[in-house]
Amino acid sequence: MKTNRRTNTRRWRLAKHPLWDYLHFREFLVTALLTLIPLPGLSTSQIILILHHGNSSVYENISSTILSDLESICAECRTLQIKHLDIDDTPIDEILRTYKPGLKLIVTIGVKAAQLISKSETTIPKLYTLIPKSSAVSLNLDETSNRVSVIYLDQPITRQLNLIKLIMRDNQVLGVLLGPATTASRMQLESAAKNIGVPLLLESVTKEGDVGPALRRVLDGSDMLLALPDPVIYNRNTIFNILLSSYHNQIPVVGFSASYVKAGAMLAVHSTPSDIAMHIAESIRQFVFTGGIRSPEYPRYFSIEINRNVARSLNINLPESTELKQHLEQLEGK
Amino acid sequence: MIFRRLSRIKTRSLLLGILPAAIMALTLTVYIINAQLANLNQSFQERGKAIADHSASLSIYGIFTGNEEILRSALNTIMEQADVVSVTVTDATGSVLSHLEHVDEQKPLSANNTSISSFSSPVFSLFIPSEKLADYPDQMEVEFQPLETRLQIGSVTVKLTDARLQKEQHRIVQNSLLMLATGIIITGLIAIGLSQSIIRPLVRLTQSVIRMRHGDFNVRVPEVSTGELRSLEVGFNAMADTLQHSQDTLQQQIEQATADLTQSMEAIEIQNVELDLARKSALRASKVKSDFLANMSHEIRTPMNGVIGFSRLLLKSKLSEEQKDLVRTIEKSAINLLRIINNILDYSKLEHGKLEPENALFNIRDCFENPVILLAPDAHAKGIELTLLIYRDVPEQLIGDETRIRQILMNLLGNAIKFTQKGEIIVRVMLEEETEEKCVLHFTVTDTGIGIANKFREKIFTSFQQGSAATSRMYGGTGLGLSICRKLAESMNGDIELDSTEGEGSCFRVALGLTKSQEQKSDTSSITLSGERCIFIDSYGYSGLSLQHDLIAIGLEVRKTDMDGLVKSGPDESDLVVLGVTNNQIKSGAAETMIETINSFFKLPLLVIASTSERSEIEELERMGASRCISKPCTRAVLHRAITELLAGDKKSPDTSGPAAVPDYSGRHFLIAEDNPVNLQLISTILKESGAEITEVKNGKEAVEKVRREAFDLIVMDVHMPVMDGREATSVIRSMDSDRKQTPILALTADVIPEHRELAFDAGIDGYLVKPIDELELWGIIHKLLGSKSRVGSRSSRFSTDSEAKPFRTRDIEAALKIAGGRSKLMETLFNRFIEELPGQLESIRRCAANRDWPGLAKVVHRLHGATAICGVPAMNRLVEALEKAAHNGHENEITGLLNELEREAALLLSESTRRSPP
Repeated sequence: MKTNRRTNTRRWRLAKHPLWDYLHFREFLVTALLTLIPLPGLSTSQIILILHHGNSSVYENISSTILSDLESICAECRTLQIKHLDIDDTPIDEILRTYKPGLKLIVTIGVKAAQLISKSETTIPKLYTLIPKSSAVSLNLDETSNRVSVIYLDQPITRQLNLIKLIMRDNQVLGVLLGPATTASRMQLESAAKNIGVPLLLESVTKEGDVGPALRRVLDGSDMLLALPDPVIYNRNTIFNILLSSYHNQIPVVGFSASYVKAGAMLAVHSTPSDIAMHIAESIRQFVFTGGIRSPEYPRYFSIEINRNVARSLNINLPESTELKQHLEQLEGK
Repeated sequence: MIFRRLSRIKTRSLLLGILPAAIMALTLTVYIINAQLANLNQSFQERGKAIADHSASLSIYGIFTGNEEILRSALNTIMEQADVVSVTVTDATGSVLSHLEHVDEQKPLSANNTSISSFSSPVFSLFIPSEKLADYPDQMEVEFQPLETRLQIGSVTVKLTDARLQKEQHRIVQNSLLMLATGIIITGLIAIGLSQSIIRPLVRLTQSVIRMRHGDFNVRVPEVSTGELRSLEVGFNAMADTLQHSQDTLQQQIEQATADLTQSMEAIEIQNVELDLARKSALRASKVKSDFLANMSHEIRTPMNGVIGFSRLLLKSKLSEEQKDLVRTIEKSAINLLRIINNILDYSKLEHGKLEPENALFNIRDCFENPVILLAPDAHAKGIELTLLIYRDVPEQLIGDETRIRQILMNLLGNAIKFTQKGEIIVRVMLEEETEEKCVLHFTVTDTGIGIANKFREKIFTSFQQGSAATSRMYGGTGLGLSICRKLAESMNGDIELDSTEGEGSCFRVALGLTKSQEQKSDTSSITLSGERCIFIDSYGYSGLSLQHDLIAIGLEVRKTDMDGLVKSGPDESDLVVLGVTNNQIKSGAAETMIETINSFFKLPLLVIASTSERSEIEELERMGASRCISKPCTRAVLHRAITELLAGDKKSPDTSGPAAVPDYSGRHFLIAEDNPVNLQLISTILKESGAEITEVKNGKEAVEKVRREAFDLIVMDVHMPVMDGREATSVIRSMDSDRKQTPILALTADVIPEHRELAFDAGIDGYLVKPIDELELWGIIHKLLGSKSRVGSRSSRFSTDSEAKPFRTRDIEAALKIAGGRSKLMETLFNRFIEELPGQLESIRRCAANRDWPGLAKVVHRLHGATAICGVPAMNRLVEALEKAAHNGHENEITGLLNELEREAALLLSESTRRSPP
């Protein structure tokens, strides 16, 4: 995992280097060669489609990282034909028809692509990635099938609670605002909090106008606010009000993305595209080797992002993010 | 007053200094105040807005959380700011979240007429981060779409009071006005200060100019100013110097001129005195001339009197025909000479304007008939027909100067006869214009003589001018006649004009403005015939016409015919035949034929009216068979008498041209006072013919002595006499008359100056005759004076009229008019009143006389005298006067005699007045 991180770092460095184009070209050649070499366990024209919708750079980034990770972690996977397509350009049926003969696995990145594929009646194993837990329902997942699986975008609630537990003092209460998208995970949250030993104050909000008063109630009764991704509650209109209100009450906010930390949350546990790509690459390798796909999973790899300025303002002394990560990894048993 | 004050230079300059500055300052102040107030207002508004914005930003969290406490704590800082009255926070729905207000300060502020301004500001949620919150596109199930605009989560309303603003505004206005006032005052002071330096010299100058205008040229102004004013002052002083100098010079000149003028004045004064002296001497000279003329006329007339008088006496004596012719020539020459002298005298008198026309009632017919008849012999001698035509509309009587009119007529007629060789001369009398009181009498003398050339037409009216030199040579004459005529005509508001064609004849037209008589005297020929018929034969035009008129006028029924007509018609019922014959007919023998013819046809009285004055010819005609022959033209009276006598069968010879019949005054005693022995002898001779006893004296004094000693029936007195003249003697005699009967005094004079005549009448004379003495006139006037006392009835003179020469007429209208100042109405009124009162007064007189109450009588008579003196009754006046004297003296016999006379006179007057105005 460390290597990955390094690789990532290097690539980031390379990306900035003038030789980046050249290297990029080299990687492209390698990938092209790999696809030409069939794996022993697989028939020669085995095709894995990585599909995404829209030209988000994150998707591109993930796609390419998957390939590079596969190269490093799976020598057998070199025979595979891994096709990276934007289904916004080509109709999904035409893609499936084109690649049907050797198609073994379809990996979608993002909700849109997943929804499009799930609607097509193909029986080919599918791995949906970067799916928020709240959106998973729309994919009609068969939890028992090993032909379809999901890698959620959200961090597992225990991981978040563990992190909070790490930085929270005893007897402090964690406040959580639940919106329409997150209210489903209320039970899970409550049980996880109970397990971990974090006192919880929950407030539900159904519309954006109620956020203020609800937030006031939560802030009045808690010492830290955990933000769960719910567009009704946490959007660009409300974010600063929430952050300001919280800090006005000297309550730190634990965000759900690096962006949130950047915007003002004190810290967040999240998965970077590299983390996600590694997770997908490992899932592909496993499919190559086992022919099956694991049940839906939360991101396996994660990062911790801390806004030191905020912490300092709130007069909270936080350990280094690596330290916290290690602690979490330990807690998760890795 | 205000305008005058404004017009003063001081006020004007002050206004000039202050007004523009004041206007500018005022404008600026108004602008600045406005700008400042606007600024204040704007900053107030901006501040309000800023506070509201600030409040909004402070309220974001409070609104977001809906926490009032937070809002209050956040907004407390706002409330602490000045002017803020209240802050109200509402959420997006408009419901009030928080309301903060200064309760205590609100009331006094609002009471202080201040207003509250509201400022609202929306509260937006905080800014939107540029980055997404999610790391991945699908991290949140629905990515919230950002709003186009910022989300408004509520609003804040801040209310600010403008108390402080108003205070500030007041302060600014106050300060600005204060500054304005101060500025204007300072400007005014500076203007006054500056203008003083201009005004004071100007005022000094103005006052100096005013003083100079009032004549004080010594005034000077101090030369203390600077610049133009100094030039003005210097100039003024120089001008004053010049003016003073010129004034002094002028003064000197005036004094010099005055001195010169005084000298001139003195010279003029001297000249005036000299002129006055000269004028006086001229007047004296004029008087001397008058006197000279009077004397001259006297001196000339006296010998002429002798010449004419004695030649007439000589004619009466037994002389041969040859001698008679010689004497007649002497008489005629003397008369001509006298006429010339009279003309010269008349002219001289007219030149001096001494001939004031008289205003007396006169008979038109008499006035014109007499001169015509007088001059008829001259015309007949030349064979010229002379005709007088008096038109019917001409009144019988008019008021005017008869003598003058006669004089004019005589002159014109004389000229006409003189310059006419054959043909006729017609005198026409007519009325031209007529009003109620006045009329213009118009008479023309038309002849068929030599005429007058156009170029001499005006010239002949000039003194000493005649038609031409040739005329002068041929006809002689003084050339005064026409100019005298013109002057006479002009003196009677008239004019004289001439129409003439040389060689054919002339026509002189005279127009005279005369006053009409209010009473129309009954026609002199009122004794008319009663329609006896007569045949009238006259072949000659105008004289025939005139005769016919006269015949009709005296009451005859006239049938005019000619000889042929007479022969044809044969005898008829006529009573009389009147035949008019011309001079030529007599000379040619035609007249004889006509008389014979007529006598052969009719056995009727035949009256021949012949154009001849020759006694012999008249007698010849009578011898030829005319029952009676009279001269033509004849007066209406003569005609009437002749016809009456003819019809009565009386063939009495006419007396027209014989020597005057001498009345018989034997037994009477006449006194003659005359210094000139010739005249004395003449008068004496004439008067002796009457058989009267004559006493002669040589002067007035002697006359007085004579009268004192013995009584005379008549005194004939020359006016000009040595020792005591006639006037004085008359006065003395009149003064002696008091106790006896008044002796009639007849004055004789050669003097024609009217004043002298007046003076003589004033002295008490009763009659007046101008020398040379006409015998007829003399007898006429003596007859009048002696009146009924004459035992022999004397025949009336041709010249005597009712209105002339009678010393004491019953009624004298002329005198009455004079007294009444020519106002006939007044005269009438006076006379009527007198007549009304007369019977009563007479009764009183009779009563007094019966009682022998002489003083009472005198009183009553005196009262009557007052009335008689002004009513134009001279006879009664004289009687009353005498009676008054007699009553005073108590002479019973005299009183009785006078009373009888008075009764008689009164009866006459009363009967006359009754006749004039029948009841």
